[in-house]
Amino acid sequence: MKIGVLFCIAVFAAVLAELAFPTAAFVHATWWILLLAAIVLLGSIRILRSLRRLPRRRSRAAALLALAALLVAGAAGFSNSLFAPDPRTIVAVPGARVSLPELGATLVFPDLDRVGGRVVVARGGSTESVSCRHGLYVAATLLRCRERTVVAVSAETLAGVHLTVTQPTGSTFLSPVLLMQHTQEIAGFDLPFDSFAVPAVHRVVKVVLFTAAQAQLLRGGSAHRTVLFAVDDSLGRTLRDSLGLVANGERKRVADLLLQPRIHRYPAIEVLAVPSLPALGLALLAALAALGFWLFGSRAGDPSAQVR
Amino acid sequence: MLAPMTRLWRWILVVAAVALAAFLLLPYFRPSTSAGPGTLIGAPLPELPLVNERGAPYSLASERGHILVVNLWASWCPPCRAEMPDLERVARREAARGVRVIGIDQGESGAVASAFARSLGITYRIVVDPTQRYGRAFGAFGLPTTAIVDRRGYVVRAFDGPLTYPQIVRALAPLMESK
Repeated sequence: MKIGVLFCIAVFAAVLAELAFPTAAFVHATWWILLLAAIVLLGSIRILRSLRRLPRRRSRAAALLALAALLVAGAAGFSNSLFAPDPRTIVAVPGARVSLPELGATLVFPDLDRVGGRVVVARGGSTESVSCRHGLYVAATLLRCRERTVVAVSAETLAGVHLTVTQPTGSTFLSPVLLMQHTQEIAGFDLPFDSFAVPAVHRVVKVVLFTAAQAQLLRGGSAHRTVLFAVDDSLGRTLRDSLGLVANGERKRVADLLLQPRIHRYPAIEVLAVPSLPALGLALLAALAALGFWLFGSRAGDPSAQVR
Repeated sequence: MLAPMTRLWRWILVVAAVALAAFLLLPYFRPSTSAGPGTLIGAPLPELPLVNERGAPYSLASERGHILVVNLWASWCPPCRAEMPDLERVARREAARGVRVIGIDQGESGAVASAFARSLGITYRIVVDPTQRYGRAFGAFGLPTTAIVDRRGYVVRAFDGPLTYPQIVRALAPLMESK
């Protein structure tokens, strides 16, 4: 029985490791899945064998509960290792609502202006938030925040008339916030890249982001984060004075547009599969009950023991 | 007595194992994310800063108690232009039944938006969303995008692309029937 308990502890340790390190490579490795299966199998055999030798009813109950805990925790860890989808990152524009049907939840992304804004997870009637310090466990999923750099752009005509910015190839068509999910190699740097359209004046603008250090190397002066704008017409033809380096917050003429970039840090949400928390809770309860029966089961209170 | 109990327990164990397996595996085989204006259905209409054609602040909360047809549009968008006469018809014919049409221009100036609306003879309320927050909140795939909002301020229907008068009236019918 004692060895069975050790197997039980080993399974819990393995499943807790999956919970604590959901992105670790070992979680989905074949050797890990086989190891987990072997521990569950050997532990089950060991407990079942000891069951026959246990004289007291309470001891047998403890063994059965330990077996249940082992099987439920093992199944949670095993199914997570074998079937859980790869981690994915949800990158969305401020104010966007992204539904996660597998969780029955909707992610509501914060406004760009809000300092330290948190992504809100709406489930049924309740709401919880995911900050970049604390993740949120929901059933068999961990939602974790990761900050990324985004660029909010504003476009005007040379007369100062504000223009609509669209992203025909972006995740949200009507957003002036560029998520900078692509990269472009310039001068040996892999730089964040995105593009937007200004349909009212038939312009397409490519946007490349430079850090302050990179900008300094390129410009030999300014130590601000900088955006390179390249303006084409809607047929892809380059216009006169179509390239412009614009520092964060600066408003500058590029081709026939006045462009202003604002660079922000903004949360994205990582969706990571973890062993099912309700199943683990159930397994833990069974293990605690087994422990209780094992530690506090008295011979005097056991009718079967009295018969013997 | 022992034999039937054992059989029962076996069945209980089998059912418990199947239930556990289904519980553990089901989340991994459900669809992943979805986006777009449809995600707004059932949620309160976002209340974000807007301005009227003179640049004064305007809030959609002031329309609470009415059935709203909230239409995102821009002057450069040909399908929006095609749809606007139908929205005008809805605004005129259904006003008595508590329907209000609000056109939210995305990212243009108030002067451009109002001049364009006047040129088409539009009389329903036109407001401007200079930073396109409604476009983001609606997850709009394009323009026009339209949401139908009930009297309590909840989104009940959301549409991508231009709508015709009969389509809008059909979407409004359940709300106009229930007062």
